[in-house]
Amino acid sequence: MTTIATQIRTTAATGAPARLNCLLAEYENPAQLLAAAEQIRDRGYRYWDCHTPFPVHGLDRAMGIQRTLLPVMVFAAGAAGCTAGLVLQLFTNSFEFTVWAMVWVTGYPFLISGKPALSIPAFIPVIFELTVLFSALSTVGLMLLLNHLPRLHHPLLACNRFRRASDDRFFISIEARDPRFYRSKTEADLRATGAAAVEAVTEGDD
Amino acid sequence: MHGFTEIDNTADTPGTRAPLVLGATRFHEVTATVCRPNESTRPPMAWTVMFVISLLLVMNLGFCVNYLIFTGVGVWGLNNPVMWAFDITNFVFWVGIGHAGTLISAILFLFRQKWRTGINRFAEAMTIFAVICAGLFPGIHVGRVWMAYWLFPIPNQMEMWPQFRSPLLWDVFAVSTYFTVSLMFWYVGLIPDLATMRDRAKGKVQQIAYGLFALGWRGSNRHWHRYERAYLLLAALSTPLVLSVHSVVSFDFATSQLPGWHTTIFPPYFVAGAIFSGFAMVVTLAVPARELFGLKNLITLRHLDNMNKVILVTGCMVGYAYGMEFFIAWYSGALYEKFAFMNRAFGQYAWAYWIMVSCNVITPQLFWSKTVRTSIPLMFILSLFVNVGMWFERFVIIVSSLANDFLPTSWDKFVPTWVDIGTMLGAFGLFGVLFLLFCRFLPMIAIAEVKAVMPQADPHWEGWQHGNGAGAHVAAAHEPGESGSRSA
Amino acid sequence: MAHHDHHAPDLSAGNIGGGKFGALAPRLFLAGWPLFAFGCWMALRGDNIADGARAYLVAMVLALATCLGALFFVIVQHLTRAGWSVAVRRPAEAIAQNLRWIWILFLPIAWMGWTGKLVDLYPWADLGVLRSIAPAEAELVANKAGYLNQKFFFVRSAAYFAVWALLANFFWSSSVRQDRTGSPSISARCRKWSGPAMILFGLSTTFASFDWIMSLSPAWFSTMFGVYFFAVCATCGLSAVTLTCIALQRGGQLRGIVTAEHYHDLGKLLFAFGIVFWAYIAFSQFMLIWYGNLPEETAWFLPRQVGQWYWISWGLLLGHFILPFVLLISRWPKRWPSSLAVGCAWMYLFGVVDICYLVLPHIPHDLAEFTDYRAFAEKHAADGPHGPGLPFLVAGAVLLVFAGTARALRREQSLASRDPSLAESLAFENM
Repeated sequence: MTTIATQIRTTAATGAPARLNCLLAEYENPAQLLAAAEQIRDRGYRYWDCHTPFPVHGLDRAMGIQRTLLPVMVFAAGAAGCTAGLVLQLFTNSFEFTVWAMVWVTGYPFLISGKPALSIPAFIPVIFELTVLFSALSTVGLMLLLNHLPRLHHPLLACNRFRRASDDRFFISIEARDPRFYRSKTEADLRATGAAAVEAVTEGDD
Repeated sequence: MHGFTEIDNTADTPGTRAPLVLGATRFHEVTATVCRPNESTRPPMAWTVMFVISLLLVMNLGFCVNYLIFTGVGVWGLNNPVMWAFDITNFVFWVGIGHAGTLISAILFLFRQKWRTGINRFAEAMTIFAVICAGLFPGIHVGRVWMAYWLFPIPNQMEMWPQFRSPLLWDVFAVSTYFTVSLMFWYVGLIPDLATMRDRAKGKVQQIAYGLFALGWRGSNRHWHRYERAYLLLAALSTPLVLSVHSVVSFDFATSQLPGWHTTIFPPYFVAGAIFSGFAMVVTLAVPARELFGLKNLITLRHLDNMNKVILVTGCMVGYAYGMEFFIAWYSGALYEKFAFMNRAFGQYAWAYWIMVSCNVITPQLFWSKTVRTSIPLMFILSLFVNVGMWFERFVIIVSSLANDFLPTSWDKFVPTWVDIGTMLGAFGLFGVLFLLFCRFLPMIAIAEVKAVMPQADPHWEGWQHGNGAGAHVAAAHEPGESGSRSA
Repeated sequence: MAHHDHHAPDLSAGNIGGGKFGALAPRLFLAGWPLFAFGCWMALRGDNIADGARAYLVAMVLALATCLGALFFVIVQHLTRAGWSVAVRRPAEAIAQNLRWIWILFLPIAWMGWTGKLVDLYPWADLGVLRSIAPAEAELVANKAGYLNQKFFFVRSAAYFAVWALLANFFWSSSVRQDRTGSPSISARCRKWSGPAMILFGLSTTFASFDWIMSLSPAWFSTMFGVYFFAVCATCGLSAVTLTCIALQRGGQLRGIVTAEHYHDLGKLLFAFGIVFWAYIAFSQFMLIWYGNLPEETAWFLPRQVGQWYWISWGLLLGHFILPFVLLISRWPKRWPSSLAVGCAWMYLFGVVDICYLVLPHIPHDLAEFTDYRAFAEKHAADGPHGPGLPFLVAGAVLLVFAGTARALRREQSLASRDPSLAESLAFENM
């Protein structure tokens, strides 16, 4: 495995060297990856990543990833949903005034089954459901947004070796745009971590 | 997978954890095992037979529903006191079935029950399809289906709004939120596995289809970090949500003043019953699925044993609720309360009541025995009993309370018509079609999650620590070219 | 990796004993008994002991709820084969083992039965008296005389205490025996019996709550009440377990054993059961009765919505749910012992308020006569938690429970150090 040579793919048509996107190092198991990630982190790289078929325990710390603020944002969205649920029901069922919400709308406080206009206990279920709905939608939406997904076209997806990142192999990629990236030095860094193979991934290579 | 003998990994030894993945020592085997049914050129014969039967039932459903809409709800066996019967029974039954999926995916996740990974994917799929079946019934029972948009707060020329004090409207919000959140939860869980399917795809069509839905997932750890947070948040949101959904369903009954409906224990009792019936359905589906698709190494006896334990626990909770209802009906000292329960047990629907008690409280007690919990045929039969019993539970609650209400002169008897029965069977067909399509085209087991609970997933696993030895061994044993040698 | 760099935790006697917390036991006893005795004297002197007896009941129920919540925690760990909780299970067992002597707290109520004063607490105890005050209610209550009569009441009470003493003793003595023998079969035995134990626990707490709390208003009924009382037990018990762990660590024990991970989980359980589940049950019970609007049922809520009780009801909503929900939902307050201690003390306090809310208000017998809510509220504007000796009784009962706990932890280890799952508990990390 370790004999696979580094190679730059060239686009056949022009013969010009394709732009380098990143160097990809392959590891055989999570233990090697974890050790390698700690070394790469200590070398001071910024634009680099690990790719694993499943979340590896302890890798966040090894990579030095800051805890995401997603929960805080979701809490805010939940609070918005809670307010929306309350306001919606109070406006439509408890008061009679007119506001502009895309169109002019008026509340309709009609009494039914002897319940008061301000039937807060009866409004709780819908408030709750909207709180959860807003929170859940924002959880998924923000997770994708922060991850810059969907992104259907990415140089790594064109790399054959990388197909095993969703199966049983573990990878580290260091992007060429990283200020500390020097082709030969970075490759040496990756090899020093005990990578089974190191490969250059180019852009525009389908 | 023929000739496979069941491996007993149910030993309960303090201080040790039995393996959840049998046979496979390498991650690749998990991928291959799960993907095999999706990648085979032709489904098993049993799948085709089931699919055709389900499809016929769906056609029957289409006919019954159209007949109902064009003719009116009079084609059902409803009468004056019994204005709800099969429609709402089926609605509550299917919503309840869905709850186990959320319990497995969310609540067991929060409780760090690693065995959930073997069954969560298809339990969640079951949730979504069950909620689709459930949504059908209130949709068609309103009579004028084309007015269904009145349920939503949409400004209209009549200047009218929905009645938010009505539990039936809470249902609309609860069930639609539940469907949306369950769908998102399921899909988020699917993303990494869709990426696996994309990366393994042999044809362009599959590659594009799976690739599109995989959203460009690259297994990036920076992505995994937010993904895991999001998954945890979804679990934390789904847990109170699943409680609220069946609670709101129970409010449909409990906010009324009808004896047998108006009782405060209904919310937790309905939730326990829902989880009970849902787990039974998971066992009903898991037993043949693992047999048919060669998943016995991933859905092991331990998974089934655990599920049967959950059935036992929730069955006891349901029994507790039956007991409380009966005791408090007597304790209330109120004539109507007492009558409602005596009527259930000894009135015109006594047969349904005793089917319910036998299937939900008595037969699940057999699960105290480990022999029963680990016997495939017995658990399959018992799970079918629970499905039947829980359908009858809803029937008993709804119909027996309505048929004999406060005024004896208005008492009547509900008899289902062929449309009632046809619609009920049709819903099973709809569920079957959706579930079978899922089995055929999507990974039935959460590949990434199963890998993550294997001991090898821990970087500190002994095998990885002893130098390169085990790692090199695994690498050498791996058949090269399985996924890496194809040209792009 | 971090958890591999950990030094092996210190399992020496100096780290898993009772420490300063255990040493407090005699002082807690010395403070608790006089306070409790003084409270009893204030509550039960004189001829009209109706208010005092209820104040006494609050203290008894509080002590019980604390121990029963801890017992539930212990049973459920065995039932689910939990590994994470081994490091914090012993303090829970130590609280639960108080159930072996807690029947003593029932003696004053037995004395009331003996001397014919039980009717001051439970109107069903003498139907003749009830008939002379509220004939309609008496007629209804007479229908359930087969259950609500003094003889059966005391037989049942004795059965509850026997069941609890049996369960608590089984789990406590098994666990401390394992400290000596180290036998894994003891864990297996606890697991085996945890299922039946849970059924016994569920039925006994349900009917105890019916007998001692729900029957204070004998005409009223709610099928949910047993579940509500379980939520009360969970609130008090889980906060007490967490507080005991923190007290042990502050006293120099369990260092490097109970970590932020365990506190995080305890905090999550308190959040789930004491805050959210309680709110779910309380809301469901209230909303269904409010919505149904049947006079037999709303009668229970009416006295809780007038006078000072009106504000206490709102206070419960705010203090038992909304505030702690917002404050404990984040990760860090559950992981930092100081903030978690404040949270648990707060929840314990509101557990007490909740029990007062359940026990103290009287349903007035003139309920049938009032015409509208406003007239009723005006008439009862001065209602409130009038329980002579209540603060002394509550403080005394809490001190006694913690004294019993500290004594147990001084005599035995504060860690189930030879439980086969201890290693799993020490190693686990939250996500």
